[in-house]
Amino acid sequence: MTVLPHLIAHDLRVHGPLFAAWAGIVVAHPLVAILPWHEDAVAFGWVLAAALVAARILLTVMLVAGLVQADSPNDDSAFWRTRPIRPATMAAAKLSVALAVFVGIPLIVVLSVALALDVRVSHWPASSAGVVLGEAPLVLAAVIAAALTRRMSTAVVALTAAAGVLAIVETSLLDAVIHYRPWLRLAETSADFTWMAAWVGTWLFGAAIAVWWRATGRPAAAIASGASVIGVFFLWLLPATYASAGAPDGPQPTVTRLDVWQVGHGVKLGAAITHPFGGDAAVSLSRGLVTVGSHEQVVDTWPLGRSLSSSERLFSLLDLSPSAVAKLQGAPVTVTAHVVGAITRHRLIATLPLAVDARVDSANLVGTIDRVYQPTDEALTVADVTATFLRGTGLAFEPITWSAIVTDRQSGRRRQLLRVPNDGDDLRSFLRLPILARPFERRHQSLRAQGTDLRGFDATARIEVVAPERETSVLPVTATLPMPGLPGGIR
Amino acid sequence: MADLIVTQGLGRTFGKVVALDDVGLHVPTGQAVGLIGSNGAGKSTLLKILVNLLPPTSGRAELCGVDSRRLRASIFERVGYMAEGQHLPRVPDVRALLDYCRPFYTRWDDALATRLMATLDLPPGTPLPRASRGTRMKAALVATLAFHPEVLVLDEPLEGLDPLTREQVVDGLLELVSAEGTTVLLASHDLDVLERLLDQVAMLHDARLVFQEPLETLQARYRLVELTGPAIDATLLPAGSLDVRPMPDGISFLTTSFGSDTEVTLGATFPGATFRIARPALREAFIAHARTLRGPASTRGAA
Repeated sequence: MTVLPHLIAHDLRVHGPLFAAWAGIVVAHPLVAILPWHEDAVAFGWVLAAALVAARILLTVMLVAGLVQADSPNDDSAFWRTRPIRPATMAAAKLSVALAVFVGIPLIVVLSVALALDVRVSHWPASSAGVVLGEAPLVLAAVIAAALTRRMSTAVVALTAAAGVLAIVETSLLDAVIHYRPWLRLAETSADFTWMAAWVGTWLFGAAIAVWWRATGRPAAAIASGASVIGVFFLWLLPATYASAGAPDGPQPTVTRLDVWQVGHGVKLGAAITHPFGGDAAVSLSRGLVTVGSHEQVVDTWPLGRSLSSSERLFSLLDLSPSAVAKLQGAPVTVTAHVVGAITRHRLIATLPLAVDARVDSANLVGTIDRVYQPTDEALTVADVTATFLRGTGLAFEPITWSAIVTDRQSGRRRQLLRVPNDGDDLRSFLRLPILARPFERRHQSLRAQGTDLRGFDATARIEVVAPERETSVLPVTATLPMPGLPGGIR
Repeated sequence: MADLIVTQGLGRTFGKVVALDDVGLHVPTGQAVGLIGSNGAGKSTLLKILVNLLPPTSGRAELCGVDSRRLRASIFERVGYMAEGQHLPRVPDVRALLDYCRPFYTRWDDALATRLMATLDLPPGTPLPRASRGTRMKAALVATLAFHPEVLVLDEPLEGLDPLTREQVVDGLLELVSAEGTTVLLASHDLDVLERLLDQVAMLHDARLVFQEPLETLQARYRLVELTGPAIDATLLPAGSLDVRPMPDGISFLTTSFGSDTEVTLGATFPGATFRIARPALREAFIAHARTLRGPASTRGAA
């Protein structure tokens, strides 16, 4: 037996019972998700699912630390370091075991779920890649933390601290980018696959740097490692892979007026902005900066609920005190921002007859019509469909939701149908099945008309299955307007 | 044949703490050298540098002719290293430990392992996870000797062992060294037990090498002397007298330059005095040296 398989077999033998316990949690998660929860127990189901996720993440870090630190690369007392075992061989053994267990087992679970849900085999590679890209960063991060420390508790604390520092640094850098480098494109606008590939690659680079650092004792290497991990969030070199809607026709965004209103004991300053995206678009204000007097605030916000009209939205800009507003009245307020319009379009996936056993078999949706109702005034349900959703894996760039439009051939009338989940199905939500079972979801759904008389539709009607696709348009807006005064009633 | 263990101007610091300073040591092939010194003298640091567990700050160390910083894992097919406090792999018993180690070595010898276990009174089924320190040390020793190492680097291999176990461990070492001419560098405080194993002794004190010489030479020139008589003036002691201590009616000291004329010289220097001369055990010689190095006032001349 060569050394590598021997080391792997040894680790699996020694840590096997703990790995089995961990695998139990992984398997329990999808089981919890498919249990027929009673309505009264739904809250418990959510808590249990969330607890399983937390336990899985914490145990992953702890078990990886235990695995790596049993043969620590930086402990003078480690037995292997004075045996004929190459460091690369030991590292390969540890990585093999960590990835086989902590990525391989979730992969098996997901593919088992796929098998149970009769997911087409052609979807498996993309789903597998999604799981690997989702799980590997945590495992790699835990391996690095464990390799740089000597105790499990230190590794857990180090990883938690690193995540915290990373979050703080990134938040600060985000502000800095908005302030000083508004032309930088943030990683969050990149597609999942690009982002994840960069993320995993950066972790591997960080691991290499970390090993070098331990070998040479050069803190500069650690700084380079940290900078590279942080830098991945600012991948301006990567292409923006969101679908661009371009600049829509119509007038460009304009700040029509500033507005103040009372919130608690304070006052909010907001801007009403007209845009050309129409009423259905989700509009936000991104990478913005508002300045009034000595007050300066980064703006990165969704519009307030109180839309003024379909082409005008009110955005919150600044929190001020009533006295500050009174003092600043008439002073120039400068707004520099980007209005982001997320426009939803419907892409036709399939057209099928409104008949039992009609099938839709697209890249991310496999379904069969189980039952068709004769629409009447009282019963607006049109069809029951059992559908398996294949969620986005980050590789396929496929939409994760769908809807149906029924069209009468003779009259040509079209109605969008609502999908009404059956009792209990709502538990199988995105949160209940995070990461592991997320690629697949099966639902039995009824399609209903929106309270419309459907008597005009008959067996010749067709259902168009459409998937929403989001396109994004980013338009700059700049304005300087005088600070409004306090309306009556605000003190 | 070139020495298998050599250090030249070896230095190591931890921050501002100097652990080794300009240490030049060599272990001739086939010989066993004992590294002695007080706690913190730098013994463990030296051995760790030799097997590349630590990099040196200055100078160089060579093991089997290879710079310690460039040691490859394959060197440990020829070199056995064992240290007090070394973590054993997570295995249930001694047999599993040997099963774990066997695939790493081309010269692994199950018969030798069995013989060593018998010598050390260590049954293969002895559980390890909750074993005593002595049992774990014995298991580590078997795993370190069973592949016929050409060189042994041992750091406090007898630390914390009971007298019987210490004798068993030394028996195990002797069995290998005498049969195969293994080169040994060994740091230990258990000088009484090791005396029958060593060819040379090297002493470290405050990070520096005080001396290195064959045990026979050391034993030939070291003597404990008790001098009694009226008005003995310690300042008249010959050069190389260490650890001068008062005693009723006289003084005692360690002479490091004993020769055929020592008694004549003492008789002439201290007329009327009576003296008793005894060969010191290695431990006594070390203690006298250590005391002197800590308190230079009691030294006359150099070692």
